[in-house]
Amino acid sequence: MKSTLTFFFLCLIAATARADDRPNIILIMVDDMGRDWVSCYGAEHPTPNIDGLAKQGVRYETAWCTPICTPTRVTLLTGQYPFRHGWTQHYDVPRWGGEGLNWNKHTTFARALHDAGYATAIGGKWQINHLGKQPTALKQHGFDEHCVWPGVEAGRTETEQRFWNGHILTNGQRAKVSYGPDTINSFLIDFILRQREKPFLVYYPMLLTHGPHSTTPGNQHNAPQGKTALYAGNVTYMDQLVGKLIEAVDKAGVGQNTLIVFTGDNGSAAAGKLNGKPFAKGKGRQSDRGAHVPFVVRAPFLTQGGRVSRDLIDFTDLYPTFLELAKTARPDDATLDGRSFLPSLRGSEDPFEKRNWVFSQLGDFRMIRDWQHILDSNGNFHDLTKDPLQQNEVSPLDKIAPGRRQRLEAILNRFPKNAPAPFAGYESRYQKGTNAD
Amino acid sequence: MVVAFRGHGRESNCQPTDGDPARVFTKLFVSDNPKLKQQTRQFLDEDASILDVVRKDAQRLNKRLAKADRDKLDQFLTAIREVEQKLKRQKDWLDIAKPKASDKAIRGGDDDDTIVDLAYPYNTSVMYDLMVLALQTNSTNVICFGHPGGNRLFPFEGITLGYHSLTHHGKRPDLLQQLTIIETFYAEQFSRFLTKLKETPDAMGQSLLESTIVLFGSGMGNASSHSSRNLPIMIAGGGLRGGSHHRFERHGRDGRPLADLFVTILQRLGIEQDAFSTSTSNLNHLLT
Amino acid sequence: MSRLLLCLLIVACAESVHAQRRHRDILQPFLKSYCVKCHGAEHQKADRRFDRLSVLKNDVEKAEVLQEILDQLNLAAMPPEDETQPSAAELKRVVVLLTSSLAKAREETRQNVGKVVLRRLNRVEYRNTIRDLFQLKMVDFDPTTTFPADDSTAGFDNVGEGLVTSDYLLRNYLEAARKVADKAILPGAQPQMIHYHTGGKATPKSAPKDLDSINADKVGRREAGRMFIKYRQPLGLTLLDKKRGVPVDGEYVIRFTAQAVRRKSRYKDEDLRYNSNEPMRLSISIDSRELGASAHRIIGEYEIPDNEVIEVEHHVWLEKGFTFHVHWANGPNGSFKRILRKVLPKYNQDALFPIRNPPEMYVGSGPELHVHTLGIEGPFYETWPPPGFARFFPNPPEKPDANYLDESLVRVASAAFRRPVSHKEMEPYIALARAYLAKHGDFWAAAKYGVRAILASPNFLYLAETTSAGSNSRKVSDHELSSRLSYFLWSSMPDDELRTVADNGSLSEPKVLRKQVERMLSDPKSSAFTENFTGQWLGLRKLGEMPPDPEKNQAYYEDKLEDAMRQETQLVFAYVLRENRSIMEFVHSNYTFLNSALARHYGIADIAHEGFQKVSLKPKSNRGGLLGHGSILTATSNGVETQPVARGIWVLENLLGTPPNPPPPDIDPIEPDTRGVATIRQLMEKHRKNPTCYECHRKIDPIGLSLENYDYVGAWRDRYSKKLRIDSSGKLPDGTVILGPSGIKSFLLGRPEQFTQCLTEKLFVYALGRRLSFADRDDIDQIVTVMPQHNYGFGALIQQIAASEAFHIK
Repeated sequence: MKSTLTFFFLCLIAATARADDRPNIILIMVDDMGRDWVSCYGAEHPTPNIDGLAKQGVRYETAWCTPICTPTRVTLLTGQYPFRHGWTQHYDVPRWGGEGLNWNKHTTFARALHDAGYATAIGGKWQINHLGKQPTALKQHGFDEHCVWPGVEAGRTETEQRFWNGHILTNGQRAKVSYGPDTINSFLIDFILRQREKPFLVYYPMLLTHGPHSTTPGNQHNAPQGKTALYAGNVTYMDQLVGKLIEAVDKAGVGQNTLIVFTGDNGSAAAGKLNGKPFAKGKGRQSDRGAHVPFVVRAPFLTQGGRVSRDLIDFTDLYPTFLELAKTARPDDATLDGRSFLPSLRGSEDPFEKRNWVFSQLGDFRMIRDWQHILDSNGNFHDLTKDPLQQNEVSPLDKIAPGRRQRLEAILNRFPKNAPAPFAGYESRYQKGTNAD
Repeated sequence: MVVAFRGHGRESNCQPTDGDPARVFTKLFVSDNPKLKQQTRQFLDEDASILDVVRKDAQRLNKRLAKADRDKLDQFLTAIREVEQKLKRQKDWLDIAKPKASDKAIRGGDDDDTIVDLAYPYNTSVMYDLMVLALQTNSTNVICFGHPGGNRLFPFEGITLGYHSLTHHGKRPDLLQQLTIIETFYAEQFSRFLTKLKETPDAMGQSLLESTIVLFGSGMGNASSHSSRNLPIMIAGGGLRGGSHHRFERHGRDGRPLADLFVTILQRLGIEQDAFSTSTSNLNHLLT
Repeated sequence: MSRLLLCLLIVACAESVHAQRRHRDILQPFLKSYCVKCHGAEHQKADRRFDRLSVLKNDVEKAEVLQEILDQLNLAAMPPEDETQPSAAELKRVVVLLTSSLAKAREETRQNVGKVVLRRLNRVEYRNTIRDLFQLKMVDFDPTTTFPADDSTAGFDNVGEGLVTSDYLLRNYLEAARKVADKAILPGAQPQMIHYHTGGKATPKSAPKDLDSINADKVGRREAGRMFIKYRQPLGLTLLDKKRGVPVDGEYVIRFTAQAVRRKSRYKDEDLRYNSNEPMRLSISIDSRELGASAHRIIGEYEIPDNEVIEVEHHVWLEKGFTFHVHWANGPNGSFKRILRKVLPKYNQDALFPIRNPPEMYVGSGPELHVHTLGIEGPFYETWPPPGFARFFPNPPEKPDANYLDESLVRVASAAFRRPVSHKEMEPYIALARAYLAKHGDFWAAAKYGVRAILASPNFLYLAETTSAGSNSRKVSDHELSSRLSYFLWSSMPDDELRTVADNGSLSEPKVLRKQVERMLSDPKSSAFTENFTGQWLGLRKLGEMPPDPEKNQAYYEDKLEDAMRQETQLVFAYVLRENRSIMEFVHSNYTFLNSALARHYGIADIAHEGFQKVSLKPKSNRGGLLGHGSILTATSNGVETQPVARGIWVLENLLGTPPNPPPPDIDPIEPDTRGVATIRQLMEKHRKNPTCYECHRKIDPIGLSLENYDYVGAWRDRYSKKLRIDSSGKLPDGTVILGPSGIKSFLLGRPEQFTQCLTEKLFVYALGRRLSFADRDDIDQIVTVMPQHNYGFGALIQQIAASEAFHIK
């Protein structure tokens, strides 16, 4: 790479300036987009920047979050499964009220890293605290700086906009901006460029590609027709924003020492195509495609990358991974359900350092899978390598499958019942088909 | 697993055996494709012509040999004659279709649940099935079936020593107990065979068991001492009177050589012969 | 003794009248006093009867009886110790009488006995002859696999009398000839090379391959990859397998790079059934889909270093249709399934017992043999066209014609019939081939056809020794002599040099003969003599017929002791032969040949080398000499216990040369009682109590029991068990007391002529391909007398046999 020489040069400068050589962390999470829209996963739709990231990093074939956004976010922030932290359903705090994520009960990874000396920032969607009623929430949760869309706050119609004329809250100041996602992206780039003293953490739960799906600055003058086309336009623009961010990171000379994760928060909101076949949408679905999201990691300081991994990842792994990178321990005695995926990233072959199942749930519905099979609490059992959309029974001639099922069942039965709701009034208001946030 | 001798005395030789169920089935029931048949026909013709030349060469050589050698070469000439006959017969048979039989015995059922194990000793039942098929389709009238010996470890529950080692039990109860497991297996397989014969009709509608004499036994009465006395022998089918246990002694009034049984069998098969090998009489009074 | 049909020869000469009188005066009274009591009208012990010899007929059977009497007297085996003994003078008189009259009788009967009956090539000889005739590599090509077994006569399967030709065998000959002709006749240009290769380039510190490339449940992958278990997970080249192996016979080069990964891992050796202390070894095997399991053979084994990539190139001759695979020779023993089901749950709480857990949970954690690249290239030839083809079909013209066909077939026949052939003799064969050529127009098919006919001719299949019309001479021709020699020492046809000497007519000249014999003994082909003679003389072919129990004798199988034992004996034999050492070293030696496994079995310390080497034995060693060879001790047991009777008979037959009579047909067999209370000596009491049994068993049992310290696999034991000691003492019929194996050894060493005679007799049968007859005594006695001058050298013995009269007459 021609930029290697530039890196080396800049790194020299950076090295003298920064004594703390712990790597930076950027977690980019797209909203409502599964693998069926990412070309390096076999989708029809081109996503060149994400593909570029995959070429330099490791593309994980099998990563699970949860089928809907709220449980996914709380899971990744707390490093615990929904049955433990209690947020098992979709819940829109700013719109429906409630206590939100309690920083006295849960220490997010941002707080852990902040306390360990990282500069931290968040850009995008929060939605698990009412930032009007709890203006210090983000700081309490560990973020030094923020540039977010606070969610639809009941009674404030201006908060309904996030894209065009988006209502954005930046470090305590609210403003209406031309295009929300642009503002947030620029903010994060600026934050990164300002980092000299400490290693930084950027948590980027993007607004795109959530509904309402409209045009983007990229296609506003040539508006696509129909929901899917608009969605596709969103995907393209999201990809460009990601590209811009990565470019900035590299230009700033910190690319070598930064771990970048690109992933999604649940299955797609619009049906895409995977490996030439139409793929049903996954958002909110009680099935593999509900939780099976893209997961690309670039970490030049750990691996040369350029490979695909079948290692299993779920979202409880992010927290312990970040702790390991930050060389710090668990902040309290809360359980961390996951395990660091750094051994996998480094290319370790040892299965004892990696997962052999991943778990997800939505409400009372639970599901578990390994590399090949999935089992859920409704008794559905499928071979995902042959039947990714879970439409067929496993053949009775398959002599191995029953054993695999037994194993998954045994592990599934280990998990405790759901913890009680995190606060009074927490109930599901999520209905299929509505564009609620 | 088929053992037989042809010829007599010093000149007899052991017929080749086959212990592979799939191969036996193919030999009996699977027709060669036309191309293979054509090639076989060609080979048979070629070999016949070669033998013609060779025979004349042998006759020429014969004249220059000493007497004892001439006797030896006669054997060679006899062999040529016999092969020529067989080649001709085989060529004739090429055009005769082989009987059809379902290969279920070696393949197993369609439901994929019945797996046919073609490895010994599980293929014993398969071999017996093939024998039933062979008799039913009139492919042969005589079958010799031998269980291989050796010191293999039978894969049955409770067997810890090789077969040959067990047969040298020296009266030890634990070895006798293991040996019983194997011999029970042999007996069960044989019983199953007899039942199948009973249930299978031949071309004329009567059960195969009626028209087949089945002889089962061993050449040793006591394997541990290699004694060939007091042999365990079972005979069934062929319209013979069964259902009894007959006990014989070495000498005296109840003394009987095994050959007496063979005389009865020969007579039952319609061969008019009063004596065979070391026979003293026959067992007609007990069996017919 | 002899069952040959022998001519009665009445020799009317003055001597016989004189002889009659001397028999009457000296022999008869002697017999009456000392022999007839047990061997007469009332009793015929051992089926011998001597009271009616007074009717003197100069027939050979009678002579054999007298010879036997003489032998027994000479051995002091008769009269038995406990009977009245003749005085020394009486004994001497009778012995002298018998010796001289028998010698005379032998001369007279030389005319008609001791004829070799037309010998058919046996299976081994056929195979070797084909190999040498067409210079084929017969390692994986064997046209004799369906041939029936050959019958033995007098202990050897190359004796003409017993070799039968059935129609079944003849058909096999025709089929074999077809295959051989296809292999041997290879016209045309050198075949094109093939090159198959799989796997990427490996650097010394290769990054581990991503698990993506592992097909989760089909662990028996075909491309270069990883191996997890011993042997049952072969890697190969799919393309090669699909094409059903290599396209032509030839030399091929197999290349691979491999690396041992995690030889020591978190898994315990006993769980994996694996020895992590041994370096990993990769073996290469070859297979033929057409020939099936019987063709499978391991051609090489390589040690694979840890954490470093090794590059290997292996050359091998492959027959058409063969393919190859690599295996992990010493990996975890058992199926991959077993590891997933039973081992993994012990180490990983997410693995459930006993289901087949996902292989991804194991791969990358245990010991693995990684094969990075795998390839094959060939065929290569030292020369083209192949020499075995070129010698019969030299410089074939572009369009070969009938004349070329004729000449070539004559060349083939001359070599195949092992003597010059005339065009006239070959006319029918030539006509046959020409007719074929005319009909089909295919020259090479016609050539093959002609060759097939030649290979079915009795001139090829038999060692035909013809009589010349009008000549009374029984001397073999030089060509017949060359065949006798080559089948004796090589179990195959004469080579070019021997053939040339025969063509020149000088082979029967003693000096030339000596030189040829010496040359032939040094030639590697003499290994056939070692193999075939020891296989039958010492009974090595029986080794493996009654293998010991695998559970109780794991070392026997794991260390491949059976092979090792056989090798020890063959190496000793070949050494004594090659170095012309005294044959008495077969009785006792201060050395033997061992590898580490066999040394371990024998309890000999400090032998660490893998392969076989000559090892000096300590003076007090209980090995050294054939009686200490595991091969013989195991072959004379039945896999469960020792058989002193079998061992005793073995010694009498093969070392002493005095085999006992077979037991009476009506005998009650002994019921062996292995419940550990009684020793076998106690069980054999019956042999002593019953006088009929005792006659023979007094010769057999003491010898067999003296060897009881060697168990049923030839290992040394001091006791049977805590309670039972071994009593290896005994008394031979002539009164000699023996104790342990050294007892019978001393007995033999004290009378070397006895062993010499025994070995010579065996060699005679093998060399001549016929039974011994009475008339051979002269030759044998002469040789025995002369051997001390040659220090009983084995090479010298062979020379003597090749020079003996019997070897030169037909």
